[in-house]
Amino acid sequence: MATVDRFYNNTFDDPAKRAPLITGGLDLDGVTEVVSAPAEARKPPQAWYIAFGISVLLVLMLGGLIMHLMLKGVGVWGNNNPVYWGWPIVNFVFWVGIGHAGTLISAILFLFRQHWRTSINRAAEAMTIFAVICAGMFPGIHIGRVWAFYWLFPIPSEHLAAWPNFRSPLLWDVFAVSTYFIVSLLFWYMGMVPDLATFRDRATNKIKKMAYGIAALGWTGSARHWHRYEVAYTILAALATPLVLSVHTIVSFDFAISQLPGWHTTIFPPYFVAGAIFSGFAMVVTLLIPARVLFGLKDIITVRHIENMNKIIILTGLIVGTAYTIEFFIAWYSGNDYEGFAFINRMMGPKWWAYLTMFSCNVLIPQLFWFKRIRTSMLWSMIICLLVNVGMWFERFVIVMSLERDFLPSSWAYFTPTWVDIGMFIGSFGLFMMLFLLFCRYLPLVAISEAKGTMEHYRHLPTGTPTSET
Amino acid sequence: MSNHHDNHNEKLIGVLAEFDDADALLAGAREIHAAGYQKLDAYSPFPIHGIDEAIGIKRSILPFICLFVGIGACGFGVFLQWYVNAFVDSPIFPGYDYYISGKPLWSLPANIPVIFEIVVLASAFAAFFGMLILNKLPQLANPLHRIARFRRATNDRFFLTIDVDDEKFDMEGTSNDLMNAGATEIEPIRIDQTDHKLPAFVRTIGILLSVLLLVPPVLVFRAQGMTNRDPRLHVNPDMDFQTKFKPQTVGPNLMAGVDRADPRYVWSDVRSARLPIDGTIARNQLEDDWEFFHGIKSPVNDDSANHDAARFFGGGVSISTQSISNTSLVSAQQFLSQETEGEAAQDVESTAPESEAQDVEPQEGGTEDLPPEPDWVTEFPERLAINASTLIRGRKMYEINCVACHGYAGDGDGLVNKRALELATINRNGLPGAEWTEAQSFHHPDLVAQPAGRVFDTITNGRATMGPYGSRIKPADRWAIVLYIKALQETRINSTEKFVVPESTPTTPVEEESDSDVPATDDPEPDDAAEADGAANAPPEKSDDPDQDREPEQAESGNGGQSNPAAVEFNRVKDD
Repeated sequence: MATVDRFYNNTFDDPAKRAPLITGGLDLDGVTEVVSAPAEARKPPQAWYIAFGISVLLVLMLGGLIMHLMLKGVGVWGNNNPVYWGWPIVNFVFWVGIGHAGTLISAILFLFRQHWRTSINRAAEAMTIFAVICAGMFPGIHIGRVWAFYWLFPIPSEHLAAWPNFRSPLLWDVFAVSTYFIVSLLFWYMGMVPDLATFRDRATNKIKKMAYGIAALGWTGSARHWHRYEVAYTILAALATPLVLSVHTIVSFDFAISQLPGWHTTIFPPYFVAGAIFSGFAMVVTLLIPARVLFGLKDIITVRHIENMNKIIILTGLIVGTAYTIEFFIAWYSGNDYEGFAFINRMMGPKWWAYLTMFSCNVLIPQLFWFKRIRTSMLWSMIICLLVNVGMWFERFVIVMSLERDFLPSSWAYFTPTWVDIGMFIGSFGLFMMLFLLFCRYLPLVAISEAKGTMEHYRHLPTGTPTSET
Repeated sequence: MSNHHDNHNEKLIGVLAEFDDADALLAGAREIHAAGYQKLDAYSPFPIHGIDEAIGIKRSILPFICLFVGIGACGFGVFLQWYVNAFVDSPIFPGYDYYISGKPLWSLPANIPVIFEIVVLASAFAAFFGMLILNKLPQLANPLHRIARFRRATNDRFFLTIDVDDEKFDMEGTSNDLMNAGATEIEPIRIDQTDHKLPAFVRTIGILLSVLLLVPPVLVFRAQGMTNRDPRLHVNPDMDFQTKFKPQTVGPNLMAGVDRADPRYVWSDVRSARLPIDGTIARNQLEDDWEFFHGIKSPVNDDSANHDAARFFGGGVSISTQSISNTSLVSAQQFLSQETEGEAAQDVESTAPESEAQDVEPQEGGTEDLPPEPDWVTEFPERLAINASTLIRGRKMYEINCVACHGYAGDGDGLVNKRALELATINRNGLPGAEWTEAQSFHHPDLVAQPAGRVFDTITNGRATMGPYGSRIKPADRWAIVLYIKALQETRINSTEKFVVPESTPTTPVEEESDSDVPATDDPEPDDAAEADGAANAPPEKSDDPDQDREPEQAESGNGGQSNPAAVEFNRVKDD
């Protein structure tokens, strides 16, 4: 139905009318066509090739740097007394946090019956998985002897001849992040099975038919299958909801359980979780704005979707801003000199510029989203979300850099990263982008069956679908 | 129609009806189900609400599977952590049995995160794989996939199937029923019964490959269980060979890699580590108060007055390591006096065994073979405050460091001593038992006669089996122990003249306090307040048990010592 205006605005706030979540007059077949187009196109857009080429180069660089690290030891990083936790943990927390938005969209918004999630949940879940891969890489290579990584798990090993310490938050981290990765992967894959079946049934060449056919597990769309599938999906959502909250809580325990001023605070778990969702949504927006243009998904991932995400960014940004303020208040109110010093040092110490970057990017700049014109502008959204990502990286950096000034002034030092630190961080973006670009090219970028279910649901709504705006 | 080639080898298994949209399918399914058909299924690109009731699908048991798996996982999580962490000696391997900040090895709150993650992981597996198993997936071959129109079941069309096994099934009648229920197209579903088994060679190759896949893990496990004399593989050379000189190794060699036969070391003594410059005194190590730090009245001559222990050991005098190890037998001061008198260190060594023998039974008269005794101080140094709190401190340090061998009352009947004597008397297979020099009773006349400085020196440098405690106990605490030992000795001599706590005035035994168990709260003595203060400052962890252990000993070796006020005071402090 090409007669409908392609630039239809569905961001109005009229309670009498329900804004359509899929525009452009797409019917069921239309949605299938639009979503399968990137995977069925003979060639992806040129921008894809450029981005993919750069990503692969960065991944090669990352691989080389990891090799360098394994041969030389962790001394190639800037980690040194007194900052033993440098960029690797900053990057780890940053990437784990990014992942949280995907699970929030797929699980929590599902339980709250937020129908707009169906257009973005697949991409967000994919982002979760790729982000957790990047996150898991940093502690993985930080252990020094990478080939003994299995010592992290309670596996009987003659070489270690000891069990791990189950009272350590670092061990909880191992369990939390690996569980998070596996459950996210199951959730993502299970959601994708019906869509893979769609790809299988549309495939024209034999290799694609076999590959998608095996991946789709022989899905037919039987009502009995759908019934159990929906039960399993709801259970997974109900499991993933506390899981996603627990993961960043446990990540925050890495800091909060230690008895260091500036770290040993009970505000860490909620503030970390809010920050994770904040940064994750910013990353989803950053990824989807170019993706919806590049792969022609403007009618499925509409301006309203971006706007909704921007609203969540204001909310979580405010939570994070409140946490920053409360931290300072408590540092003063506790009357603890060390706590007070830690926070004054964060703001006024040698890394004042990091704190300033963090505060302005995370608290001040997202306030622009209060203006509808800005939160519905793709360019503004993109810029602000990129800055939020920068700010959230700096938040973790600021926290870890509290180590610069420990209890003994003679051991104070100024942390500087090495070229390996910087190269690995950039390389992790390469890995993330490479995986995401492959996902865009070969897998359904939108949960087709869920989007169709939402369309069907809207078709039955008494208010009907408004076809135009005044 | 379907895309098969011939019909001769096919069997009808059902009928497929196509519907236009979800509503039509729902209505049609309801109608067909109402008409009495039981074995039917609906196919749609997305889940349709209400279809379950329409075709009679019962609620899945999947939630209960997840529940039970979750409960089981919870139990497993608790058991796992209990099994590996709750014991000092865990099964198979040691657990993490380090007591950190006094936290218990087994504490449920610390185990909650891992239990939670295990429960979530197991339940998620149950939900996902339970769904697949209940749905009999994966099922890659399905007769429905042979029907071209069915490909739109995952896109935008809706289908209903009726199984050929259904009691009401009849190709023509059923087709009519379906058309009447709103179906737009009807098609039979056929299964191809042609044998499509894999050729035999594929199976052979498969088995062969599977066996070959087992080889790498077998090699890994074999390597794990073997020892190897070859140099290990250095995956990470920098961590094993670092460009630095470790202590107690050979120092930098200028000819390394150039001329093996003619090594030229940067330092003439070849060592990698440098010794401190002569006369170096570490911070807070200037021990120039001879009375306080060594228990000697004055150094033997003026030149050595400024010497300190560091100088003595590190000063380049030819002292062999053997002689250093003997310092536990002969005091450093004896060495010093030897040295300053110009005798060779070797002479000291030769006398060392004798001195050991002599020290077992210290006798003032048997010293002709020993180096001359230094001028031991007989009074306590001025820096030491002689008061109740020092005494209490002395008792505390005594009970920490000395009681194990010398016993609470100083009779030399500590548990370690008792056990060691038992072991020393046991002959195993004709071999003599362990060697052990009995711990001394402080109440032996010779020891009672020892000057305070000598006792201090014994604590500092050790005697016979007793090791040196100089590095473990601070000088002031060592003096406090001496004070306490002297007090213990006084309790048996029944004289408080020589040892008087400044505040205390009593000189006559207090008869009514002969039983140490009697609480002395009603004691009219004026120094009680001071003593009570001392007691209040005393560490609270004193339990009654050691006290009770001691009473019989005191009773045995009584000699009226119980009536001594000092002893009574100590006991009362304890009882408080």
